Amino acid sequence: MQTNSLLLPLLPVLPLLGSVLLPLIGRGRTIFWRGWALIAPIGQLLLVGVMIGQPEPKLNLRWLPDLGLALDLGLDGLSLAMVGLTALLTATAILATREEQPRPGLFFPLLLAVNLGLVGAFLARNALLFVLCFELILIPTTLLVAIWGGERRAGGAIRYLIYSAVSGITLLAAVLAFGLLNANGNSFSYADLAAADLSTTHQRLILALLLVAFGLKLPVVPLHGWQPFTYSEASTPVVVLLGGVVSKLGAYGLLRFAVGFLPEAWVAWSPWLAGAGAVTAFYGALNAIAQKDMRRLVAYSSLGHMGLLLLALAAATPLSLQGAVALILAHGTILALLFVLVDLIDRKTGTTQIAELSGLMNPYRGLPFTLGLLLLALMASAGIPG
Amino acid sequence: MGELLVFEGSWSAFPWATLTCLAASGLTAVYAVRLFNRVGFGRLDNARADWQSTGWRERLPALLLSGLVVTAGLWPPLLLGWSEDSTAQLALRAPSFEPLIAMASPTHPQELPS
Repeated sequence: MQTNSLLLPLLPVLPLLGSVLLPLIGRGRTIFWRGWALIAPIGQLLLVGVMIGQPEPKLNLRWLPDLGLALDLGLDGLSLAMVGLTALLTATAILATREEQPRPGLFFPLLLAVNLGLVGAFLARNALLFVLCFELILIPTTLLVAIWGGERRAGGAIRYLIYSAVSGITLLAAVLAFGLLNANGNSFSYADLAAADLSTTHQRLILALLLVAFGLKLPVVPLHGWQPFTYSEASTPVVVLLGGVVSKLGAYGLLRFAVGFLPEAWVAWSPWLAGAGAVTAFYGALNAIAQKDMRRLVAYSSLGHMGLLLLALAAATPLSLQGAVALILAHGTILALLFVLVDLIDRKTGTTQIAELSGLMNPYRGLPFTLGLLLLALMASAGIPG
Repeated sequence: MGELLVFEGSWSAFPWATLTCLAASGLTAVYAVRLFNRVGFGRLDNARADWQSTGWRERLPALLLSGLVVTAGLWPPLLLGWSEDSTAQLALRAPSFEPLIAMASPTHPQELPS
């Protein structure tokens, strides 16, 4: 077995150990909790660094063969990029916690549980395992929004829960249909799904289910009802993960399952999908202009960028798909930066209402350093230089 | 960089949708400038402007991410080098107009002609 394949299981094991052991070993001030929690994402970043440019590591262990579920993991370039982004933004989320983080013994393990679900989904080479990891993300993220969010956090959490539950059920239906209808017989491994010989009707049925499942997660108009509200109510570390990586799981799912396994149906529907992408991009940008709160502005800005992602996936040319992955990485990083900076402004001024803030570039009594970075992040969001 | 690749890659397949997205991307500059102008400039409210500057520990995550954003902007392989082979295998259309899928019968995209 290659060294890489021996290192591969460490990527999910690190956050798993972290989320289980942290409540047992963590004590004292937030800074100590933060230090322990950082071990997992920093370890993942080191592992990703070691695996860059190496042959694709694989691991396949039997789990529940009667169900078609296997611990089938792999790490191609696409997964490597997504795992790297997940590790980076988990570390950012941990560093972005406030000095006195309430209930750290629950908060940090839940963050690491979200990381575990994400890394598992990106490494999965079995569709049922992907669904399992996709669902694993739901509970910790809902709790993180519900317990540590803003004043209207309960509403944000419930919206997120309902939309995500529908997304999860639809994905499960799509994957079950995919596995049961494919000619290789009750197999959910990616290799078998890619080689499945499905009729046009079956392909379109499964694609419709996948579009609902991943469209809710991304999200795209008109499936975006949860996003602006939940983003504005979640605490900054949580929204860094939600907007930076969890939503990108929708784009990854569309790329891996819809473009990868249902190419004929995808090409047939791609003009409509490109149209939906354009509508989402325009709707997000226009709404961002109209916002009076910085968090909601960033949330709608993010929605607009998801429209660009859908356009790139619909076009499915080599360049557009490369652009889609670049956009996932760049947007995840820029969105996290914007939310971190808005949080810094909120900590110092006590508000994120645009009308209540002015003169923050004042070099003596303003926040010039933070505003300088905000200018950089806004320029990057507009495409210069990120 | 991501936007540029998306626009260039999507133009041949869906020019109108790409143009609409391009216009939407232009609106990004509108709300970015509007936000920065409102928040950054103008008079400070004397009654409220008594906040402390941010500390280095608070700045650390923003500094790390800013460094990455600038580095990726100036050195695009940081964004592009990871997944070039994987995405090339998933492509369904050639850079020109003709969908690759229409030229071949296999359902597995990896078996399509490059």
